[in-house]
Amino acid sequence: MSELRDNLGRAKRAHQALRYPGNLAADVGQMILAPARAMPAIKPVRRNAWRWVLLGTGVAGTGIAATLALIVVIVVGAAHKRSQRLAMINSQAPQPLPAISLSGLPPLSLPSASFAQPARVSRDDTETNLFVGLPSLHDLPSISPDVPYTPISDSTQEPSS
Amino acid sequence: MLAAARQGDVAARAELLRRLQDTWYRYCYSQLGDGDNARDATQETALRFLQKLETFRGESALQTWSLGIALNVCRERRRCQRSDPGTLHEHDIVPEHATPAEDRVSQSEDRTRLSELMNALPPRQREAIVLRFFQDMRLEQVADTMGCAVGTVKATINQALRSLRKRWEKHS
Repeated sequence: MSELRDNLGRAKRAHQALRYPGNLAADVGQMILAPARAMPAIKPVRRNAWRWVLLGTGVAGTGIAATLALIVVIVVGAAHKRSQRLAMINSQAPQPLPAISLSGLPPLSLPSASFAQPARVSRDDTETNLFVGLPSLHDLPSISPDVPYTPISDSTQEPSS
Repeated sequence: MLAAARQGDVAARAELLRRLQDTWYRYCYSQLGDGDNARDATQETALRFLQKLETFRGESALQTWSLGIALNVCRERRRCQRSDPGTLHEHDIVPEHATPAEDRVSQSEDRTRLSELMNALPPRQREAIVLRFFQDMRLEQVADTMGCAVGTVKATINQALRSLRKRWEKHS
């Protein structure tokens, strides 16, 4: 135990005999020794934190403004493109015909007989189309209880040629 | 001088570094076990010391407070090196240039044994031993430096001494 203590005492003496090899002040430099020149970038930051707050706010504001501007440009561009497309589609669509005034046309007169009378067809045609040779409703006798029934003669069914 | 250094007086700051450089170097040397590494750690300690000087409230001695910075620097360096407590060699605890020439041969074996025992200690125990016995600090100062309670420091030192004693006797 005393041997250990002796060695510890000897180590202590040797420890206390140690010296820094050189000049520490010269090693760390005159720049470090002078605080105003030593940390020109660090000290103002620590003391003026509000400057960083302002700087951060400015950067953030600029970023937000740029983002909003980008969004506006994109929206306006999309709307412009859409209107252009619509205009192109409208130009390709058929144009409405110009209105025609009927007042300038001559009056149309058609012979009423051509509408009223049935078309005359030959017998051969009636065989193929039975309903074509039916008499017009105008030619049918009116049915009334006061008028005695008269059978339809063949002359009505068989048009005279 | 401290007030002048805190206000940025270059001469006062240089004088503070001159007074504290050996203390820092000794501690870094005992923790890192390498002259170059200890020198780098000392310079890093000086930089942090100057940066934090304005925050020093005077609740403890300036040397105690600054050794806390050195302690953190060494812990970070050890963590970066990924080599647990930093292998101490025999000449790290008792450097060649710090011992009289005639004692070197006779003490060589004991130095080797002591360095091995110190290397085997956990980092916290080694820090406490170095601060308490090599830096001649009081328990309160060690507690301030290590950032823990005095009772914790006592327990840590007792564990370290018990471990050292046990292994020393075992090797004997």
